Amino acid sequence: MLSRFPHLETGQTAADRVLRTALRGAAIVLLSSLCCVAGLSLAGCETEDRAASPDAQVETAEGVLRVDLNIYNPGTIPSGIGEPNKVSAELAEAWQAKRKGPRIRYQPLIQTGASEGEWLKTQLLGGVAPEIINMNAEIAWPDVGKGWYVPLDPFLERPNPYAEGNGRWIDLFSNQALVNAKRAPDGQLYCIPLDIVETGIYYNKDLLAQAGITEFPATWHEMEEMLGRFKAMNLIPMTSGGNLGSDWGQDIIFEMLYHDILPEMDLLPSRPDAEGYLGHYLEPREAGFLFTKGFFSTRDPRWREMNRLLLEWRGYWAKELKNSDPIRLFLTGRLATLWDGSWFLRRMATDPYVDFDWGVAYIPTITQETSPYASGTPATVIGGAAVQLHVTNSAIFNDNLDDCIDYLMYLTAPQNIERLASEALVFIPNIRGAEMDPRLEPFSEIFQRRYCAIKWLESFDGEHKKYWRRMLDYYLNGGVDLDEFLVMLENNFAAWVEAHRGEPGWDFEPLEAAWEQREASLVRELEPAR
Amino acid sequence: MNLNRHDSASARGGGTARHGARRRRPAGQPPLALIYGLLLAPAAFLITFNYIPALSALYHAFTEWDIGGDSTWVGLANFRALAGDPVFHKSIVNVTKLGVFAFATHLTVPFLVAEMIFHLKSERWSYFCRVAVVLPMVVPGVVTFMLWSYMYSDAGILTELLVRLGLHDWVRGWLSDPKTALWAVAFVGFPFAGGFNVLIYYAGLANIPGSVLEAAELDGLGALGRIARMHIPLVLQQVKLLVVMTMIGVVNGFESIYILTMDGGPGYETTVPGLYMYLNGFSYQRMGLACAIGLLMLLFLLVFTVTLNRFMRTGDYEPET
Repeated sequence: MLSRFPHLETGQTAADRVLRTALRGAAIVLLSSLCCVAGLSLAGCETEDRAASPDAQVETAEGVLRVDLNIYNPGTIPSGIGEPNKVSAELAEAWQAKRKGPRIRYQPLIQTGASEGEWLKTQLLGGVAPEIINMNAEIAWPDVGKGWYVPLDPFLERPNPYAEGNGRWIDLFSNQALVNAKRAPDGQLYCIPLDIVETGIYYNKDLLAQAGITEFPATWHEMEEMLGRFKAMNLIPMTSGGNLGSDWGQDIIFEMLYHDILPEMDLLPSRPDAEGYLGHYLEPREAGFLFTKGFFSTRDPRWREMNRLLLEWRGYWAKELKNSDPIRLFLTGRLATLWDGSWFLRRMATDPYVDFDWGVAYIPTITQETSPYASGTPATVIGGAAVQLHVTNSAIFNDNLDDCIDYLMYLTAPQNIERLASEALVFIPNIRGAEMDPRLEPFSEIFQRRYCAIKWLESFDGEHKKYWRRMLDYYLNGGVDLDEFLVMLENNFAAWVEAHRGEPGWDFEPLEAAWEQREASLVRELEPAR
Repeated sequence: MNLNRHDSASARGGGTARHGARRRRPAGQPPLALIYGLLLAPAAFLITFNYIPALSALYHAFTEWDIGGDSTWVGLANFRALAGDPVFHKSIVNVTKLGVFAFATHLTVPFLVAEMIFHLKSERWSYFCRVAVVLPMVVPGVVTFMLWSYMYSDAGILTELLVRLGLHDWVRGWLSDPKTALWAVAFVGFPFAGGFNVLIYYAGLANIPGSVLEAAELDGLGALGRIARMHIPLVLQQVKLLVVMTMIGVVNGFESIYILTMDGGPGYETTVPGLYMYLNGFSYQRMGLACAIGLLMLLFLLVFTVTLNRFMRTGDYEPET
């Protein structure tokens, strides 16, 4: 008969049993760990071998081309509504069949949540990033000297075989100034600006009617009046997606207040081929130089006015800037106007539960009724290129650069980009001959406006940018008053200029010469130094 | 009754038994070489992934170091910079407020819940309640923080409730308003009644011998008297453990703040040393300064734990023989 306590018959103590069990467990953990380590090592060796052996390189080139098309990646649901994208996968299959080359594998970039793009940088450093990636050209610029990206100019001079009658690939892009504005400081183009994004104010027509408003306001004063009415109705008058309103807002208000003196302030001529887009744009160096002369400081009355207006406007926004969940609020009729990008259009256009009339307008003009510094010119835009495709150093290492270029040419053929853009319904194709979905028309109209004079937060970098962003939120939430905020900005500006002064591309001498010619008129715009 | 610490005699006894085991290996026990050999691998992992980074951080606290670059020895410069850094000072003030709040809530509420469960007559209900307080622990922290973030939003339950009650003036940006942001972060997890703390208290209460409880009852101690004069002294060991764990959680933790306010804002109203360390290391590329903050946090926790152990005497119940 078996005992109820068999261990008592083995002569082992409880401690022995615990020890044996622990040892057994440890052995299993050890073996598993060793297997993992061995597996990882083998994987590492395999990668190294592949990179080292020319035969293996050919195998990779003929094998897989890794591509990130951002919002167009297969399986992506733009704006979080509707069927997942399929067109990009279909295009890849069709291209593979035509080219008889490598297989396209879509590989979305990993976003780590921080704007620095740590994951991508480590991939580029190791030469293992996807061959084709999407990123803002300006973010890539500081790294183009490291050989991480392939300059595309020589290829853009070639004809695109997939576009009928095309002699030079670059001529295929509809907005040439926008394309040239994406040239890196070394003058070369490292990206293909596939399409265009713009922002607009989505407004609930039914709520406007309830507030006794028949037309979306044309002036800032009228807009504030409208927002006041919404507030009285216990609605949230306005907010923006992703807490971007304050960032976008300061760029737009800035231009409307400085418009008349901008030609004088723009000390450096822009690239002639981007004149139509960036003709009046203040480069970071110009902004830094102008700061040393008293602009954008506590002595600059327009600067004060810009920040005063921004705070006044914020009084009508949702209480939470970061966590307001604006889409839910807008769709449920609790938010009257939503400032967001064209990427939100798909939801509005296709959501069957949207039970109100809506429209898209743009930021109204600031007039003298609102500010003595108002130029009365229409608000500028802050959008531009959306998906910007770069070819990475992986294409060189894997010897599949020609395939990458060919696939990009294929994607930019009018019939192909048209299919991609129509399916996603978020961006306007930047390719001649590609038809735009008519529902994107309001954004196309908005995009015809002049581009803003500077994107302040994008002009700053690193800690200084983050500090500005942080303190802007603090100011707009009542943490500090206008005077304190202006002093914070001034100190931050000074630290930023000092951090860059003397760096390549930050030479103030040519600016000094231009300044001397305009000093008399520009200094009049500032308050005297204390 | 006698509340003694484990006396040294039993420890000595244990030592003698172990000494005996060392002299003669019982049959069937694997050789010591094999045991040590098997322990080597975990030890290697522990050293590689825990001790070496910690020692590296200790060294780099005295350097100026960007990830990927060379480090330069700067002596105490990082500590001097922190001494004059208003953001670091602010982060200490914030973590102190959070700490006081956490002690007030995370130590008391779970004790009350454990008491209630302990006093349940039905074993089935007691078991159900224990499961109920532990169940929320299976929800990942990130999900909890995101839920709270949503609750605080303009479309969230808190705002919605106030609007429905007609209290429009009370509505605010709970996480955006500098006056409420830190307390909004502190309130995550309300009513603080679940989790490990309840179980630890409950285990302490369940460990009190029945004879002691009976004696207290015979002596005519009421429920409150039992709690105040018997339960609390007898769970002091658990209290000590929870004080240390809460302090470590408060000082080292910043995930909730990172998810709720993203950067310790508005301004620096919700910045704590842990988050400031992270921002310095990974956002501002000042890894040396981040290591210095980490070292200060470690030192504080060490001093706190040692002081607590020294001055907060606790002991298990041991009947007189």
